[in-house]
Amino acid sequence: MRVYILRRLLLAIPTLFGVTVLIFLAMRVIPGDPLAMMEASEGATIVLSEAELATARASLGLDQPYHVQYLDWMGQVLRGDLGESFWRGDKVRDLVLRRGPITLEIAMMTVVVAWVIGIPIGIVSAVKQRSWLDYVTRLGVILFLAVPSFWLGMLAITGSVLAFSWRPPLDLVQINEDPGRHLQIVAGPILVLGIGLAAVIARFTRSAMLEVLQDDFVRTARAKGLSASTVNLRHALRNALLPIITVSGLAFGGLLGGSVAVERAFGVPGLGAALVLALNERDWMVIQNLVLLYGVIFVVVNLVVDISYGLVDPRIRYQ
Amino acid sequence: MSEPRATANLGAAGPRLAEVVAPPSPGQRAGRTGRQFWRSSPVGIVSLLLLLGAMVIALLADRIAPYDPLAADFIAISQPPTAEHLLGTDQLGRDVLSRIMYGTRLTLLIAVAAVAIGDGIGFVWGLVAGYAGGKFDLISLRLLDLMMAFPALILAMLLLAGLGSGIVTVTIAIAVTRIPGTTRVVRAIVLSTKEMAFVDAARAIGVAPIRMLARHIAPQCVAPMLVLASLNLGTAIFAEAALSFLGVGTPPPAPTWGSMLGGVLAGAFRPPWWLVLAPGLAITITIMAANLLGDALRDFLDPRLRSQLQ
Repeated sequence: MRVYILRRLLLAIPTLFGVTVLIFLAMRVIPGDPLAMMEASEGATIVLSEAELATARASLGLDQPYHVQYLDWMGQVLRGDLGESFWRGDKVRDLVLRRGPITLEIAMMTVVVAWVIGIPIGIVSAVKQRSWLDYVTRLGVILFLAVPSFWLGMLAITGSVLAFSWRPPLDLVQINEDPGRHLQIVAGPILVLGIGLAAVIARFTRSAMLEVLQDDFVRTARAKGLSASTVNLRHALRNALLPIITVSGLAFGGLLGGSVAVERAFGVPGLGAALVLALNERDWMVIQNLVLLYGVIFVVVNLVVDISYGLVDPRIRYQ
Repeated sequence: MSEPRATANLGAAGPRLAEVVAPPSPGQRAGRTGRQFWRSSPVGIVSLLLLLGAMVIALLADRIAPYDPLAADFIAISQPPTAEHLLGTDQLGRDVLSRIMYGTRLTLLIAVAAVAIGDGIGFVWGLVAGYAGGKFDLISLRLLDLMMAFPALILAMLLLAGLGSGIVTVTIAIAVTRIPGTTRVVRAIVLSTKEMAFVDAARAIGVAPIRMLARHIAPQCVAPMLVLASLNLGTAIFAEAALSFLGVGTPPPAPTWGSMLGGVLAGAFRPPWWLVLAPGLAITITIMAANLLGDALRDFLDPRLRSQLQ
């Protein structure tokens, strides 16, 4: 197991390196340099003169050759310095520390909610195949796979304002400051994203269970007189878990992307909101490092998924 | 309607024999496939009709829209649905129904173009990587891994940060996010096809690589590509909606369904529910139709694809 984990960790390093290179290239080589982009964007309120441009470039290190720029950037990131906003000068590191926890909390709770809703529904729908419950489940899955979560969030807000004259608070309250108010902020995004992901989880649980339930060992378990719940949960579900974990890991990426829009819909001041603001302001250092953060989180999640394979299925460890 | 019956016409009716034995014309064959598809999956046909309907609305938007989608009417600002404005008006007094219709045009144009570009590149890349193997395949796999190391929407945002937002750049950004999935599927199919006897036979009689790819291997990928394109259409519509909703996608004033949702709830004391409802329903119904068509095509064309393309 230790060898397996070590090998996975080593494999993640080139991926992380590639991620940084890709971000660096996307931010620089495509249109010239970030400041030229800033100039070119029409309707910009601030117009920089040639001299100002040159000093701005020098202050950002953009007059250096690319490899120097890249190494500088990496050196900074590895030291934990994420640079600062071009417009306001506040540290990106502080931004991440302030806004990161709420986004991470939403993403992780979403997975929990999705598992709690999705897996039982998927199991029941597979065990009682072609029952009305199965049909309702499949209909729900089709519906919630198509509904964009940010729109579902908008519907929820609209409904709650019209019906109860209440909408979730828009300020940033950490969980240790005021748990009740904090919950009001995060509950909406978690539920909305959770339902969408639950549809995906339920679909995969159902098809994985249907497949496993046909296997010989399940028939053997039934034949030796084990109760239905033991057969379904102990024998079938455990073997069906692998694809469910895979999908959860893959879906986590969609979750990170989707949460950006959901945060916007609910007005949650998380990382996604910061990224969108940075994109609209063309605040390139913030964009570069926030995208890096999202990429790193996704790579780490995939790593965790890989490692958990080994935990769930001993066969994989020895491949 | 019914299939020609050879037995009934044999013998006396000499001239009709040719007619009966002649292979069906492409039109007849298409008709027969259509009927089989209908029998196999009415849901698929309904979805297809829905998508075609959306395309008709997109094509005829300038003929059927009751108002100019960009014309502000400051006397009729933020009105709920009325007889004059069936879906109400937005914050600038623009007719929502007309904007939905024009929005269909832009949204579908971006989504279809993105799928065509992304799946087109993925198709060719997957064919070549799978068939060539070796170093090219290895490098391709690493590159694809890298593209998949980002959440799709974040990758699109990164590209938009580099390219600047606009209709063309949004299309490109969404197209790029569709490439890795398609390439992997096509590559996998090519790898398994390469081992088949008919490919060996073709190689034995000296078929050149290009011809081999075009005539023998590519046709094996057509069915999965149809399924993938349909499923990707739904994803592309979602991506466009999310990006434009966030204000980093299609720039105003041209309406897409996603941009119509942007900023709708900001600062409104009583939220304009009609501005929330209409574009969201358009997005949801279209994505659902694309997903269901994809599922139906998969089950109809090749049920074995189920595990690969879920």
